[in-house]
Amino acid sequence: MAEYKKLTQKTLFNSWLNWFFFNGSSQSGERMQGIAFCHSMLPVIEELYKDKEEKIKALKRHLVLFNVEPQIGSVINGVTAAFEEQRANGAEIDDDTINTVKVALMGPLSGIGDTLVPGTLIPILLAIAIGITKSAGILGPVFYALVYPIVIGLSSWYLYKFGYSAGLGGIQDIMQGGKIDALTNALNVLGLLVMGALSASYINLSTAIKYTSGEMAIEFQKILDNIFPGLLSILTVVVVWYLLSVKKKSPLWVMGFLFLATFAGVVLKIF
Amino acid sequence: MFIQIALISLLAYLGAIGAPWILGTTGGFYTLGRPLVASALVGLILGDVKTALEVGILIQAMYIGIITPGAVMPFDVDYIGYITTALIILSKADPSIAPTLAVPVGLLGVTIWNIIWVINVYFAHRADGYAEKGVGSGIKAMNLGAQIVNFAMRFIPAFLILYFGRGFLQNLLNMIPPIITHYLTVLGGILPALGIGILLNMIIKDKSYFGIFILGFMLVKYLNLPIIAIAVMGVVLAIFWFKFQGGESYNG
Repeated sequence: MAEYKKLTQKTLFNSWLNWFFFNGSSQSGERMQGIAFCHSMLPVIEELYKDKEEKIKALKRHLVLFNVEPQIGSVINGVTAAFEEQRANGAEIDDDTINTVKVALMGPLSGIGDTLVPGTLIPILLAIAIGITKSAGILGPVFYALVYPIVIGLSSWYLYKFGYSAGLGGIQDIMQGGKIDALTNALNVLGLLVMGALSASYINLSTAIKYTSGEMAIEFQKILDNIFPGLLSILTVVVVWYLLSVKKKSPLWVMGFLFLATFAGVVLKIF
Repeated sequence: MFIQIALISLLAYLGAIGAPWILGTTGGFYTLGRPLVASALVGLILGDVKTALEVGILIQAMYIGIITPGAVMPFDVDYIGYITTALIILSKADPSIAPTLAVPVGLLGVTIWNIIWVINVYFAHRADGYAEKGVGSGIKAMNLGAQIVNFAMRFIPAFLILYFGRGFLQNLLNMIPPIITHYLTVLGGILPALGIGILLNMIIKDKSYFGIFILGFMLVKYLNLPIIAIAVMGVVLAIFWFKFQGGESYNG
């Protein structure tokens, strides 16, 4: 029996590096990150397949449509590298199997990745950075520009290696074990608390309605402030959220609505 | 001014979605492309960090929840960060109009992205050709080659807008009647609700979680706590949340 061809650490690192840097480079409506995925597999393919026909088949199978949240999604590149290694060593894995695995992981990992990274981690770090900016100026953006790439860079490489060593079974165990849900929910709690705080500072809506009778003037806003400070601001968020989630309007539609509603409010001297 | 504007336009390319050079999507779009980071860099280049950060805070808060699932962008935060901040500083406009100015800029960025998204199909087909011949380096070249399009489509419009737009905006702002100025100020206070709403729509699966959002809101409105204190409280809360939701076995 021939010697088992094992991918070196250097090949795996280069494969990850190609992905980390160039995952979005040639995105298109037709293949999305397909070419980038193949680019990431190049070091793996070059090392495993010396036979030209095998190499052509490998290049072609990784040029198909691929799309994932790229930072967390590096785990798929790791799993695929492991599959390619087994295939090159004679395991019964055809093109369809490898692509089925990629497609099966793409959806759930995009869901988890979008929720965790741009949906939670980025807003939390940015909210903290805004807080720092208010008191310490440029240190705010410096904080974000250092912390975010380091945290994500290390996580992305760790996830690639994890995908490679745990394989498909290992990933599915984790995704089905409920821990991801518990983690997502816990981070959502943190995210929501911070977003609520941020909204209190940056959404400002007050009413200009006044009731004047003789020398007595009642400002409606003061009454509102006594009931619940920032009531109009939080109601604005509720309206936007309602339009997006229940009415299924697009963000652009909601923006148009805010432009018109505000205009009406200003003309009628409500705001 | 030519060099400064060229530098800002270059950064607008480096922070654009898909630009790989500064640690990929992570260091590019998700770091350089964030309005807070973008505004700081514009401020340093144009020598007015204070105004830049005022603008940066406003537009960052507004677009904090923008995500790009499947690369479908509602607004292009990278263009918003660089062009809005630079236009405000160059035309000496009031930072409070930034959220409104950001709207057309963000839509222009999305239009550009949609065009790139179509042009890049060309590189996919060229890559297919290289795969047929077994030339791996050709596929790499096609993945990188798409950056020529990205650079041209990001740098050139940004440069033209900043170079010719600054005087135009200044004149425009001088002509605006007071009621419109008031309208733009009110709008600037409302628009951040959109970014927050987009985020809520994405992360709230169970409506009872909205209570936590209200709690965060009240911690600022009633107690005036700084955001870092609230973030620490959030971490404490999140750890317990994780444990009580069955995640505790993770620690043994």
